[in-house]
Amino acid sequence: MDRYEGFREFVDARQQSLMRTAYLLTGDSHLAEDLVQTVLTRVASHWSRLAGTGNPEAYTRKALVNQHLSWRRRRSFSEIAGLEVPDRGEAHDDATLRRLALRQSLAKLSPKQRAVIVLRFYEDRSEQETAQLMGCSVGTVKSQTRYALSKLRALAPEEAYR
Amino acid sequence: MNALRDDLHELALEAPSVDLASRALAAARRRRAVRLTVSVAATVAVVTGGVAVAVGAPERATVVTPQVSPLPSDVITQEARPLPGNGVGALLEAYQQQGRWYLRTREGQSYDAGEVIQGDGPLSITADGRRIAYFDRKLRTIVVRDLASGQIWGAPLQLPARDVRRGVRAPAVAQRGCA
Repeated sequence: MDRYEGFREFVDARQQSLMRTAYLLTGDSHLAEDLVQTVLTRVASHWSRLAGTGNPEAYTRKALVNQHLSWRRRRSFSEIAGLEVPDRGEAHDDATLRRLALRQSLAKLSPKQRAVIVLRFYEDRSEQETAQLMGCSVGTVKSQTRYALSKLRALAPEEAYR
Repeated sequence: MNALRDDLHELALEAPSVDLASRALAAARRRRAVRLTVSVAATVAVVTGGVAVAVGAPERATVVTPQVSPLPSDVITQEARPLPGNGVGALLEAYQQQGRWYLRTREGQSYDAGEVIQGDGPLSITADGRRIAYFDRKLRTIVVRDLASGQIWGAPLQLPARDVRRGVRAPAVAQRGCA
C-alpha cells in the first residue's frame, strides 16, 4: 500500500482554506505558501499514522498555528514594507480603506495576538478551540484578544471595529 | 465585530491559489530518504566502531585497508566463486567487472557477489575487511554483513517497494571506500 494514499485528496480539499488562514497569519503570500508547504510536508511525513488513527485536519490546523508562532522573527522583518493607507480623496471606497488599514494594523500585532484575531474572528473558533490550537490557556486567549482588539481599534480608521 | 469578520474574509481572498500536494509529497519523500541515509550511516558507524574496538590499537597499525575500486588491483589468477553465506575471510578489495561486484580476500580468493549486491549499488568495506555494507534489494534497505559468520544487520528503515521496482537508486553508503 502507498504510505501516502489519500494525502493528495486531503490537500486538494483543504489547501486553499489553509492558504487563506496562512495569508492572514503572515501577511505575505510567499511566506504563507512557505508556511503551508512546511506544514503539509510534516503532515505527509506522518500521514500513515494520521490517516489510520489520528485526525489529520486537527493536526494540520494546529501545526499551522504553531509553525507561524515559531516563525515570528522571520515574519517581523518581511512584512508591511510599503503598505500605506491612501488618502481618502483618492478613488477608494470605505471598505477598501478599512481593509488596507486592517492589513497594516495586523502587522503591528504580536504573533499571538494576530493568531487569536484570525482564529476567533476569521475562522470563528471558540475561545476553547483557539486555546487548544495555540497550546495555551483560555485566559491567555481572552487577554490576547482584548489587547489585540484594542490595538486594532486604535489603529483602524474612525469607528470601524467598535 | 461583523465589520472585522467581513474585512478579514475580504483580506483572505487575496491569498493566491496554490497546488502544494506534489511539492509536499516530494519534500516528505526527501526527508524520508535523508532519515534512511542517516540511520544507515549510524549503523555502519556502530558496526565499524565495534570492529575497531575488537581489533585493538596494537594490531590496528598492521591492518591492511581494504579498497573498493572499479577495477581489480592486478590480474585475477583464481576463478571467482559465488559468494557463500559465510566462511569468507577478511577482504583485500572489492571491484566491479561487467556490472557485477567481486570481492577479493587477503588470501587471494575472489568471490562473485553479483547475486548479493546490486550491480551498480553502493558497497563499503570495514577497515578490518571482515564486514561489508550494501543495499539489499530483497530487504529494501542497507545491510551490514559479517563475512565470516554470515550474520546480517539491517537498517531500521526500508525504501518503499514501489521505488525499488522503479529502480530508484539506493542511498549511498558513506563514500565508496572504507566505512
